[in-house]
Amino acid sequence: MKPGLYKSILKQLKEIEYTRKKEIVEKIGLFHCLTNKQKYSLAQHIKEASYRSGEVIFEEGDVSNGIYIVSEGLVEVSLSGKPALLLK
Amino acid sequence: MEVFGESALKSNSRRQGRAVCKEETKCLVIGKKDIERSLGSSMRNLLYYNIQKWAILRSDCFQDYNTTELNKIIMGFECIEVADKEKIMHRGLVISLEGGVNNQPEGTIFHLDNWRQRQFNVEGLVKNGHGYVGVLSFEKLSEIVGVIENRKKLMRASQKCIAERDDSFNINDFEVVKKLG
Repeated sequence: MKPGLYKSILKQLKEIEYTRKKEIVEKIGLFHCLTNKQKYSLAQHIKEASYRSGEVIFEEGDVSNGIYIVSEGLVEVSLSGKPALLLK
Repeated sequence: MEVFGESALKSNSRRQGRAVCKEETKCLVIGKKDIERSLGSSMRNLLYYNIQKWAILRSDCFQDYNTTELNKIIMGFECIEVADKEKIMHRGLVISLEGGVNNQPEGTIFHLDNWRQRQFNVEGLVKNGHGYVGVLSFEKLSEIVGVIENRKKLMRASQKCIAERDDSFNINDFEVVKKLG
């Protein structure tokens, strides 16, 4: 392998990933009021998480430590024990 | 793609609900500290947007609308600053964003009955404590809803048209098929 090729591929992959995340941020209604700069900054901080069926993402009363965007699958949000929303 | 867990936009907040995966799920997560770093004072706009979103979602007036359509309504709201005990005489939907209105808590939506009955003469509201409210005039709401409904009508008509075309489709009508037997 040519020297620097690995780094170049890695850089390209990172750019593809960043573009994907940027597109996601642009699609979300919640972020429509933000400037492009703010959207791009947010995109840099997006992390991915996978969950099994039945897994709890958070419980009522937990400290709010971030916001979630459903990219695949189905999440049920319940309020006071009653199912309130199905998000996909 | 839908968002949840927006309570993280409030300082020192705790989850008000429980989130459980109903199937294998992938989520994109943005940490609270990263949001604060990226947005600074714009966090407030996001928080207000979110309060308006939940107020609209909880109301029974817009239940037939999808996320994109609801977003058009939410984006129509304008935030105005109101002083303590000031009267709000806005002819339209009003949502309390900061502090109460008419002794009702944050996130309460007012004048929905007026919208349902198309009675646009509203009673004044009184702000409890200085803060912001979201307002959307009935005129602007009518415009937004009109655009959404027209779009829905067009979609239904085009779907009907496609369905009718599919029904009338007969494979024997094609010359090539006839020749092939």
